Amino acid sequence: MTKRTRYFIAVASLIMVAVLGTGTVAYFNGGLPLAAFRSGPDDLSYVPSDSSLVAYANVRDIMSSEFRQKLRETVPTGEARDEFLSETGIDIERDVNSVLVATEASANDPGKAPDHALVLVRGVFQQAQIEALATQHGATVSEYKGKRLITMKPENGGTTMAVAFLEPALLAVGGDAYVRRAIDAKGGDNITANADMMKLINDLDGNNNAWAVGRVDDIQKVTGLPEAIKSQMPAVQWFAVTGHVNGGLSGTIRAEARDDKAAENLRDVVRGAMALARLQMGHDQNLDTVINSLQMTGTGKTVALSFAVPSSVVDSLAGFASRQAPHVPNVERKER
Amino acid sequence: MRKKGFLYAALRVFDLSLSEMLWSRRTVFMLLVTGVPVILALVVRAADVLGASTWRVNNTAMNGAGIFGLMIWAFYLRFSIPVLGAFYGTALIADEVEDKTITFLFTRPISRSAVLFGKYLAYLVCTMLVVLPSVAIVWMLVAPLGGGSLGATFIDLAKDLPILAAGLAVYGALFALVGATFKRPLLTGLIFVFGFEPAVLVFPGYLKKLTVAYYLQGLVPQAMPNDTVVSLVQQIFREVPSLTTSLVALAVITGVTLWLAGRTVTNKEYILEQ
Repeated sequence: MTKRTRYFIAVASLIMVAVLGTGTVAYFNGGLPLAAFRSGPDDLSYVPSDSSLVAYANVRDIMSSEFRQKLRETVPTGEARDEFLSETGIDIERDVNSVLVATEASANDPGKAPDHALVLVRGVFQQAQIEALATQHGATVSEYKGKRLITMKPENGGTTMAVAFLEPALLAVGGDAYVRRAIDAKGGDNITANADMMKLINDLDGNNNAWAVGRVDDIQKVTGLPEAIKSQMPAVQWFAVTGHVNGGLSGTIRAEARDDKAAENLRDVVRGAMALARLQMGHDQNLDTVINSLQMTGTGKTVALSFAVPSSVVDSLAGFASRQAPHVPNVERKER
Repeated sequence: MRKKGFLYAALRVFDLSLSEMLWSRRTVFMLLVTGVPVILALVVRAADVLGASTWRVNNTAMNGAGIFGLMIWAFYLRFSIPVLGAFYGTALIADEVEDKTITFLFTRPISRSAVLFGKYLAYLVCTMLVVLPSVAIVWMLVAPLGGGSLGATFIDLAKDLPILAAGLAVYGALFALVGATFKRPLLTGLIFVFGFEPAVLVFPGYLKKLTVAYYLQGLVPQAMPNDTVVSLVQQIFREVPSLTTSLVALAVITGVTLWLAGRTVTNKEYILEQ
């Protein structure tokens, strides 16, 4: 063996050792700074650790997108929005930056669903105006661990609802008990300590402006799905849905199956569905574009299906909707 | 003169052949084949660093894991591995015949099959030294794209590397047999890689079990991309053999073809053209 062959072998081996060493460290540490490690929005620190579903939307990003502008042309919402603005001082389009929704794992009774849901809204709020409006409607304002808490018990004796000002720009809305747990969660027992959920959140594409992750068996309890679908769901343990709204709409639906075999079966089902969809192609160019964008990926226990709805499809849907909708005079928006 | 032991003889031939193989013109082709994905990964990574927001393939946003999976299928599994197997495997004996140097090897006190086996080992080491680092570099560059992480995709890389190594071993052994048997082995090899295998995989039936790709592709952790019409049809009729079936089949193909190649070289009478 010549000297330069030995050098070549040494360099190639060195590359392999360096890459495999880096990969091993990254695998056991859950990522590296090099790996663009993210940990989701800061608001997650208010979500109790046993939450089974977490969904997030960057409202500011979506509202300023071309997609939103197109929808606005089709669906006028001026009157209701202005009424909400005058009562609460909140302009949904301008004052809300993001919304994070979480539901509890124990939400197995659909009737009690609001009790187990938490909505965290980040934006600009007129605290005094909101408190005044709430007390006008019979709510009581108190303090819980230094946070202002508005609680309201419905006349029919249902779930006590609460609104808490967690931070000057962060509002929590939900069942009284859940909102109080959100305030407690900031101390430590929050979703960021839930390794399974955080793994999914960390794997999300940072460019998406809306996403949801959850545990499937818990979601089954919440939604009361048909038995036929429920029987297929045990194969899936976790799911993640991500979306990016801009000129069009693109996203990925990802499922974590129970094992590799279940994932392969699920891939077969998706492949079959995609093949069936492709058989329908040729009638509508817009539909063809969407079907062509379907792409299945995934390794091991992961099955992912990505899709894209281009702006041309949104345009034609908007045109169709405006032809179908009865003519409603557009209410002129008040500029603030 | 007493004949040396098979393994000793094979290792001596390996030692002699490795440098010869590594610094041949064929290696330039191999560097080109494995260098293209590295350059592409570098360009993609550089664009990402400079602020490219989302990576799209067929109008679909993809993260690092997806792009890496796509590159493994498109560049390595479907192209580099079978092509390198064909180029090097068919040349193991054919080159010596063409250069009229086979006489020097066969007049040594070693068995002919040891010559073939030593050259096969040299081919394996030579191609793995180039292909596997190329895959590793591509992974380092591509995996962190779009919010992906090295940790999340490391298991895929750890599975891909031995699968690609197995691919080189199987295709190399198969084409060593082709090289020892046929007069124009490279043409036969390329017809097998780009004609027979893709055609058979498209149709339902048992014929696909006569390909290497059927067993090799069944092991790959990443889902097959539906980037072309052929891929789509392949997906519809795709049967994935179990892990055990794939491993046993690949081992059997390697063992049997290598043994047959050794037997052919031992029994064949080589008449050098004057």
